[in-house]
Amino acid sequence: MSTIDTTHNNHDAHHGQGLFSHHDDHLHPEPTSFWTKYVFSYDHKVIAKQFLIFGLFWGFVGALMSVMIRWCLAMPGQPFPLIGNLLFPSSNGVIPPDFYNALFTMHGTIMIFFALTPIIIGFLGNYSIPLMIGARDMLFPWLNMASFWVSVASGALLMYSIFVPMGPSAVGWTSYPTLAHSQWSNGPGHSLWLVSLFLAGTASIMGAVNYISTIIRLRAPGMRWRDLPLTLWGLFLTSILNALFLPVLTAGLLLLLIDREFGTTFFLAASISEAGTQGDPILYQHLFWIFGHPEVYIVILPAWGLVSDFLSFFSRKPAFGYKATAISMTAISILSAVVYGHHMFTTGLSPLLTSAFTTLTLLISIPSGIFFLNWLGTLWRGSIHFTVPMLFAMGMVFTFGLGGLTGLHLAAVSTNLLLHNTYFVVGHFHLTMAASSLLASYGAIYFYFPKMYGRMMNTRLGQIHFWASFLPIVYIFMMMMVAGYAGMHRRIYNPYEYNYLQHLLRLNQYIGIAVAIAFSAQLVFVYNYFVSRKKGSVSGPNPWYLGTLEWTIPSPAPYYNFDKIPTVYNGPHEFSHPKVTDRDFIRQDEYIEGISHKNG
Amino acid sequence: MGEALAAQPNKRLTNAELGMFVLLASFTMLFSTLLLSYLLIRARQSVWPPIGTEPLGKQLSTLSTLVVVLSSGAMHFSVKYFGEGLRKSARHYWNAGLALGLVFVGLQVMFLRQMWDQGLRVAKGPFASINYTLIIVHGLHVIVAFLPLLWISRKLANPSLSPTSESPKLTSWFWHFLGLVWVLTYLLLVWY
Ligand code: HEM
Ligand SMILES: [Cu+2]
Repeated sequence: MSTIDTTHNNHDAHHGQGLFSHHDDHLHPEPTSFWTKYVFSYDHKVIAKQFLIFGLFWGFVGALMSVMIRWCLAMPGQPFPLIGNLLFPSSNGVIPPDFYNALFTMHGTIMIFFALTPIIIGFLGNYSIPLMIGARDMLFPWLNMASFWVSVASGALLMYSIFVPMGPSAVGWTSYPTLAHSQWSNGPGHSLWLVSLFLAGTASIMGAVNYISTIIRLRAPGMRWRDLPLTLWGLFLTSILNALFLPVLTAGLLLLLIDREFGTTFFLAASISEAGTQGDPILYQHLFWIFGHPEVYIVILPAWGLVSDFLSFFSRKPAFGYKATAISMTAISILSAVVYGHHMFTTGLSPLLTSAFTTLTLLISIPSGIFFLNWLGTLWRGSIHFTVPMLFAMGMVFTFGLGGLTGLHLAAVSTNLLLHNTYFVVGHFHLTMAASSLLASYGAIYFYFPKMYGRMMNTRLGQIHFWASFLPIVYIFMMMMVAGYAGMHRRIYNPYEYNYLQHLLRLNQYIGIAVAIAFSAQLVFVYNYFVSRKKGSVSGPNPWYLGTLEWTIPSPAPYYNFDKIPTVYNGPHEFSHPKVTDRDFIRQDEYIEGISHKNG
Repeated sequence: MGEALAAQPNKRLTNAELGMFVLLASFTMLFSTLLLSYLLIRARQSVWPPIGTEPLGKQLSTLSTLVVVLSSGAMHFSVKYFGEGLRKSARHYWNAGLALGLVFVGLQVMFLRQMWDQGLRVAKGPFASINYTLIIVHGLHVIVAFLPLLWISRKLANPSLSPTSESPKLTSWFWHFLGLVWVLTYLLLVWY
């Protein structure tokens, strides 16, 4: 630490205040008090860990809720084991139907906004961006800290909403009116939900402003866009989508909140609104999905980027078609803005629109196909190292491939009309968005653990965690698609009240068993995480033998990351170069005649 | 260190300007969504304003639009003078812009009263829903913007404020943005 040059120049008149104040001019001494070091920290690495803990906590809550949902479907009318009597004394431990609705609503909301977003964007973004571009922190550290604490406020509100009279929101994570209006969802639960998501959106926008500006401005000298690890391409595109489309959601939520609280009629149809003039419930769906479709790419883009890097890192080969991958990801981000209508085929859109949305959606499969083939091209004839992060990356390739293929059936309007609102959809989006981002998130944690704590996570436990999660997850979501194909609707408490679904009980019980296994496997992870922090084998600075900048500094990463800001001469994936014989990777910051680009 | 953080220098936008630019892009999407919702709901109605409802008054709203434009102008000159080192003029213009901003809020409140007195109630269908919501949501942003406005006003009085400080300029950007949003809202609500 003492080697860092703490001298600095002129104007600090407005330093430390204001939205866009930044560390432009000087290094702060490392904070020493508990509050400034661990709680209200400006350090991107601390904020990353805060987001990680936050996301893991909520992920646990969300996962427990999915277990409860699946219990209802596997054991209808049976009391929930262990904690059932504690939670539902009035029904002798049986999960009541209205609470079931609250469960899937909260599960979806929590998993997307409070588990995956904090982990794959809040944690991964904060941790990797400055380290991978050779910077000492984010461009706007204060904004970064604020983003985390607004997330905490939003989480606290959501938690509180679970305990208010008449219970938490129970209208689905999509919060469609008219059901979401106060006449049909009484009580403060859903209004609190709206405010909570409003705050979560605000926090994400703050983060996005930071990520975008940081990646544009703080790349180390010499780091061209094509020297950027693909992880950062993913995070960069995600942030742009966040900055542009979250405000659409927040505007929609705001209007809905005003409808509920002040009696306006934006989303009330003519026959229901008092004055007989027309609001429009479908308008809400437009606003929601203008945001909602980009949102699925928001959680998957960082995962794509990360996996693209991991496949190269652990095959010891340059990423196949780096440029094509980056361009494809960009193309998808742009296309993601104009396909949202595929969520609304059953609302009576005009045939012209439905065919347009079908075509545009199917167009996405071209860039997706390109980078997917690039992934396979990267693996092809690589010297594959099955490290734990690599296992998760390859698992993600599998689940995403499966989920992506089944998306075609939903994109085509003719099949969509039959599959809409069935478990086929649930299986599909869990494979693409949920399972894929989840697996990538775990990959990121195993990967960066040594840089965070200076120790490795236990490999054997990691392998157990992987297989005991991956196999059940694939089974669970495949079988959900089967159930949906057989006609099982989503969001129903007891499917077996319908004769034609009774034969699905067995299938749903098998899914339940798989869920129990997958859930238990996460305990292995938690154990591994906490024990390895203290007892894992010491990792050294570069345990994975990589050339990206974060592996050129000690582990755990020191307070100001880089003693001296590196200069970049090489791309992120320079592996197995025939001219370098003493090792199989080239650091981004070393100059090798005939290989490196001249730094301009 | 300074050299390190200006790793990718760019003459057109400073770091803080870039951040503000992205933030304003977000806000643009927010207000566009609100205005788009208005246009879509309106497209469904056969008569607008609905039968028996008076259209919005033109005098007060036109006046407030003029005021907001003047306020933006004052801020513009303030930032210009600040850049030229004319601290005192900068402060006067800034405070004038701020005062005009207060007048704007006052006029908006009168405008809302007028609507109320005409018998418009939010629960009475989309016409009232939209007008009240757009005006109030915009107004709340203006009111929140007073915080940085006042803060800069104080800083301009303080000689230790660095002449290269970007805060006045960035704040004025946000202020111009809110002015622009109001002009658009006004045109769409009152004249369209
Ligand atoms: C292995 C873990 C998981 C299991 C077993 C699981 C299971 C379920 C089940 C049974 C439903 C209810 C479907 C319905 O009735 O419509 C559901 C809904 C949902 N899940 Fe998951 N889930 C898991 C992980 C995730 C993750 C990681 C995400 C993050 C994206 C997620 C996002 C959602 C969403 C958005 C819904 C829709 C909620 C709604 O209908 O409003 N799930 N999940
Ligand atoms: Cu979609």
